Amino acid sequence: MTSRTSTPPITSQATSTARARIIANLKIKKRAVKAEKNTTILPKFLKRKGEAQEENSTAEFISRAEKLSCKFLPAPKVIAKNSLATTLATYLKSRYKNGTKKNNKKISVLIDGEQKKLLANLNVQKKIEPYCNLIEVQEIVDFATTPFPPLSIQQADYAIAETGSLVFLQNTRAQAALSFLPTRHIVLLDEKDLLPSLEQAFARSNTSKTYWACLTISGPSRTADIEQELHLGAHGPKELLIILYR
Amino acid sequence: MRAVPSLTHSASHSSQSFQQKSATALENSTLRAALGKAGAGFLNARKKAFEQIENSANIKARAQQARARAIDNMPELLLQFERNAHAKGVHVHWAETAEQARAIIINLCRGKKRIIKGKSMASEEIELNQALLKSGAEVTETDLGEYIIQLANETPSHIIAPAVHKTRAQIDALFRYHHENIHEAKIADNNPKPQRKSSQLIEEARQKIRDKFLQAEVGITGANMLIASRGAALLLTNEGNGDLSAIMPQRHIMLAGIEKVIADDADAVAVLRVLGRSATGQSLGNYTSLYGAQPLQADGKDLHFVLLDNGRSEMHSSLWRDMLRCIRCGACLNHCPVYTSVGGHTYGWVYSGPMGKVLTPLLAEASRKTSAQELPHASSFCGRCVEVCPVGIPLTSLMRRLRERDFEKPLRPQSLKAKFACATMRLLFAHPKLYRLFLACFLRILKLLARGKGHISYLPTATAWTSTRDLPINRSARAAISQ
Repeated sequence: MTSRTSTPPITSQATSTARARIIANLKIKKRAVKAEKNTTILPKFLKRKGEAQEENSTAEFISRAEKLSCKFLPAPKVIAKNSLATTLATYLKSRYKNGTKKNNKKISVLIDGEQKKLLANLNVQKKIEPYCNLIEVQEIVDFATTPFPPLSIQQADYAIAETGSLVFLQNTRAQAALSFLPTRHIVLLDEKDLLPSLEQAFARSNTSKTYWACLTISGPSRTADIEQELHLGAHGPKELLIILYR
Repeated sequence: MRAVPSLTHSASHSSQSFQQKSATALENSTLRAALGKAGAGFLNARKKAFEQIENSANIKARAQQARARAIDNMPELLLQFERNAHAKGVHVHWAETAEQARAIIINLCRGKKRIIKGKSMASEEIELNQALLKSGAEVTETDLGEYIIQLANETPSHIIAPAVHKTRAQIDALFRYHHENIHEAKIADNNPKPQRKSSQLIEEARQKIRDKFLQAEVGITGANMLIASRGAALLLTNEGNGDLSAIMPQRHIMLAGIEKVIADDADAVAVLRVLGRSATGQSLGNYTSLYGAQPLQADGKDLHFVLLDNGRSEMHSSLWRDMLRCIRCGACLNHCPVYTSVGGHTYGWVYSGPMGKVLTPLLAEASRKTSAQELPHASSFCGRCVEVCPVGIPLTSLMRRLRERDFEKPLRPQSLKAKFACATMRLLFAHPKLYRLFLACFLRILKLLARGKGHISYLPTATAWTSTRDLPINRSARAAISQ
């Protein structure tokens, strides 16, 4: 559609002149008011008041994520890896019954190639296929042909207990869009991928995995732009469901 | 986008003074209702978020330290940022002025028609939308608040809640006009439809903007932080629109002021911990995304950073350098008694509230856009903004320095009344005998006016005060009288 070559359109001359002038301006220290040097050593981590400091990351993650309106499947607890398929199938079955039986259509579940392999490895695919149309998304245009995709399943790369957030390292646009376009977003999370703090999460993103965007997601999409009233489901998912397994 | 004259109430581009505009704003009951609804929510959310943390003072000190470090080492960090971004195939453009930034972005959008935008104050600052529309492109704001004000053809009135001045009824009417072509008057007369719920309005906007996302060729967003050690940028949104603007189109442009640079991950985390809490009471923005984290290679995605100066490097070596620490959380706006009474449009430019009172005179003057001389004076110096600022910017001191600068220029009082008052004062203060005589007479008049009541309910020359409240007679005056 568009050409791949991306030559910097403004001449590098113009941008380097601007750069030189800006940097030169910044190096002038004529009237600079010295910023106070803060020499006290500050604690790195967050301490929360009132509640017993959660000893294990799992409990803290669950309580944080629930406060962000995330839902856990089946209940807020860790399930065994081999019951993953049953949990997903039960959920899809319930949606199939409640939501879409009238028009006799199966719910469409969007995944990408990587997730498909994962689901196959976990023996999930076969079990959920009777209740949904599993659609593999490869490019952005696939979203246009599947209007208002209702559901997507993704495995989170890791999660942060401090904030109840899920982190996805995404390498393609279609992969990244899977976290945003569907109405419901189901996230699989391995308990061993839970990290206690934001610092550790940033450190973890320095992996060998190739990705272009590191998305940290804390609950379903929300807006308070109309009369400061909080509503879920602005542009992204209206519901974020987490399946925590070990 | 069609402009609807009957639906716009924007006062933002008028040549009225701050005083005139605030008088109009105070009489606008719709605006006051909208601001009233917003106020308490922001304050409580922020208070609760910080109360839950045991070491909140330390968390703020750590954020301040991180920002101060970034500003102290700005030239080195910016160059480091550029080097690291280049190494990953990400383009970096430098713009000294708003005009240069617009030219760079228009060039990057050349040959592409459908543009989507995430919320960006820097883009409002350089008036990017107008320039893009002029170049023939179609621009859609995707943040719900920004989308609303784009339909209304207005500027944002709050840095994090751009449509905070709009009531649900106004938004409903706007949507009916733009989405269904039903005019406001028609709704009232012929077609009385019940006012829709917020959730219905959000759903309608979601569907409209969804189509734009799917067809977009270029996405333009702001950036909350430029991490120098990575050459990557952090983008925070709650709706997910920033990410969709970044992800869906092949080309992604991130526009950011040069002060947004931060040294490394640890400093970025320190700022993240206070940013969400100060803005909306969240421990982290709903979507906190890092773009340009690794070399670009998949599906032809290309990423451009546009670094905007527009007066900032000038501030760096000035007495207002501390202002560069600002992380645009909006806490000072929410806590300001002036802002919460008059709203953002009264300030005349994109930045409002206490931070706007400092930034506007410095940035807008650099581009010779507006005169913002009155802004530093529109403060009661109550100091609440300084108290709530998560990065410890001494906003009132900075405003005072702006007042002093204007005094040194020297700027004469403008109104006849003010000139008369100043002349009288000069005369009295230079002649002690005259002063004492004047005081003796004045106190007698006050005593007369306050007779039998202990307070004054009518004082000529000060009717602005006495028309709505009594002036208590002060104790030393009483003592002086009785002597």
